[in-house]
Amino acid sequence: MKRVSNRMMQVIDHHRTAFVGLGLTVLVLASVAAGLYSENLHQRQVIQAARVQASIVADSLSGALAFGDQATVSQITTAIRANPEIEALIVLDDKGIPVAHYGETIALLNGRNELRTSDGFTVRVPVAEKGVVLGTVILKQRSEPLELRLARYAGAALLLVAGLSMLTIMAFDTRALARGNRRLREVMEERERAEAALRQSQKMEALGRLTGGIAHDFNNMLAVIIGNLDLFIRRYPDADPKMLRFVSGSQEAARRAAALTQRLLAFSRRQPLDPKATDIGRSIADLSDILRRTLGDAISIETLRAPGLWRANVDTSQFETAVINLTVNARDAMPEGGKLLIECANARLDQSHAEAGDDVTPGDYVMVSVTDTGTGMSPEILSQVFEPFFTTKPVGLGTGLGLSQVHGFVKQSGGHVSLSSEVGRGTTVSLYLPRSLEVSDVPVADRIVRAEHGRRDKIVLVVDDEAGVRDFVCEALTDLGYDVLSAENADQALDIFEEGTRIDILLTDVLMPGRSGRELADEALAHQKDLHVLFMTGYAQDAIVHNGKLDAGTRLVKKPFTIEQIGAELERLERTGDS
Amino acid sequence: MPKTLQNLFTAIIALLLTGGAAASQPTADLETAVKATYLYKFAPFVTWPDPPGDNLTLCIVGADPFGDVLDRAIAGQGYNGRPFRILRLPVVSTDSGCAVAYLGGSGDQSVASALKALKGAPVLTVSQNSQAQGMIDFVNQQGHVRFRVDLAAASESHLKISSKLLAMAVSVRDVSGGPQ
Repeated sequence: MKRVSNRMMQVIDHHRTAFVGLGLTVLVLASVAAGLYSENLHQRQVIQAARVQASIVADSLSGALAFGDQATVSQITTAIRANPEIEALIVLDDKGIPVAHYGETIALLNGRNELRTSDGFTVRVPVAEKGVVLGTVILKQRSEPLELRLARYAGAALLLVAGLSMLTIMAFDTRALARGNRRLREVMEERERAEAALRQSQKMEALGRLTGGIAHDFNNMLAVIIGNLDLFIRRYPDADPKMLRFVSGSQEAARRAAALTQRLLAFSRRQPLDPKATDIGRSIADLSDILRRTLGDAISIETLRAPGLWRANVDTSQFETAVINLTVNARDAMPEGGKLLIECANARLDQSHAEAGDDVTPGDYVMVSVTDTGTGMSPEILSQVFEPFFTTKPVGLGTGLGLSQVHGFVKQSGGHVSLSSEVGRGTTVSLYLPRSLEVSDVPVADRIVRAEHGRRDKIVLVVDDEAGVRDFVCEALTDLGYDVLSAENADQALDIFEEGTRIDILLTDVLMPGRSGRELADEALAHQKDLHVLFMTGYAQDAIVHNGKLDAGTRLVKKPFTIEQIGAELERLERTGDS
Repeated sequence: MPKTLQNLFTAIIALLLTGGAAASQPTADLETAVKATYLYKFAPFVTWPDPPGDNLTLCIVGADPFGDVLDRAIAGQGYNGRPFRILRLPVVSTDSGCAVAYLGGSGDQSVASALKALKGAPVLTVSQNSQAQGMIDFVNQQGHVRFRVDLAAASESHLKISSKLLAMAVSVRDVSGGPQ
């Protein structure tokens, strides 16, 4: 019902001009018709009046005319003269001879009984009694002058014009109102969409904070669990093997829990970019299952790996995300199916490249190119694809963030991206990732074995508000041969520095009640210049992570960590400090 | 001689319009012609008790001063759509079928005896220059042909005479008697 009336309103709205025009035309025609009718009526009245008048004259004259009473005839015609509407009068006797007359011109009608002229109406009436013709009266009745008639209609016309203009104004007023309403509706819808988008992003942000916070707390707890289990195995290597199996089972479960919290952190984007030497080829091989599922059956995938491929210094998980993003784009460009080629090769960009491309630092890179045989893109689109939220996909199918992530990640990693495309042929995206200069990615555990025994004469100050973490770390470091002091917050830790105690390494949590680990480190370095600082954190915050990358010289160990991992970090710290 | 013809025409029109004021006495021919037209023109101003079903009959009783002037005058005229009939009689009676009777008088029947014969009958009697007068009696007045009306005699014969005709009369003898 409401829809029907809405539909009607739309129809009326759409054809408003036609409706108004039709209405006005009908009104004007009706008015003109009414005017003509009135004019016609007036004319008929004039004719009727003339006939009646002539008949009266004829009747009153008959006697006088019959018996030649000139005086009486003249008397009657003179009396008629007083009527201003009778312009002329002539009285003829039975032989057609004029007996009396007045008025300048009068048509004798030539046998006709009436004659209508523009200025009046002439009528001829016989003077007769009982069929005996005694004479004729010809009378001209003056019609109302045109000016008078027009003046009479002017009032009505004025009313009509006023009505019409009012109607027109009203009609166009509602038209403007309708237009305004439509515009308002559009603006409101636009605003609703924008608010919905904002709510969604706020929701994601809140969800991120929530999951980030949970992950942080979980990491602390997992740190305690994993650490204590580690300690147990270290201290009681000769325990009942059955018991050790229980413990290692628990360790495995705890590590899986830790992996889970990493995924939560990745979702909440609290994960700092952690570049390390990565075998790109192996990463892609690891991804192949996911990529094949992403592409579907219609698209074949081919991977080429150049021999002697360097390692790239990138954050592995971000790199994997980038490859998946590129694959999704390639798939969407090939709705009819096709072929995806992923190539890995070493690339040495020299000065000429640097001059040609923007922001290219000459050097060694690992090149990864993803090529599809899809629809391709025009140069106009190509220039926009890296912009955040730019998408060629239908609403709801693309976030417009895929290539933004790729671009952002590569640029943060110190590499660059090149893109080439041809409409109808396909698209190639090439990532140039900085070559890792690390010699090798030696498993951490190997070195711990060497460092396991012997005093180190190093004092480590452990600062963490979580007693469980603090206790475990203290025990672990003691096991690794360090002398350990502990504090539960920044103030306590600074007291220790102010007492003049010499500290070699400050191992501090980042997020603590009161001053943060970052602030503590700054103040502690003011007391003791050669202090080594190692942060431990459940997740990274701006306090130590800028633009998703660690500040230069800042070292970070992610909770939860095993004794081996913390040992390796401390060793690395000492080595860089010594060198 | 168109000039002469035009002058003559102008003279006739002037005569008709002014009633021939210039002439003190109408010429005999003209007077007779006027009287002839009056004779039939009286009829429409009179109402008979039994309206004449056939042609209205104009009777000339005795001496006939009009001759064919009357016949010419009624040519083309009619009463209630029927032509007048002219009946010339030496003697009139109630059976003569006259509606209007001009009493010229003769040896056979004087005007007075004619009036007597028609007394009380619905016949409009017209006379002139006689001792005995009809209901309408022609007179000359300042060169004009006029008439007197005897309303009493008319009403005695059950004739009604229109006030229009009475207005033209020089005098009217009313029912109560005596000329007005």
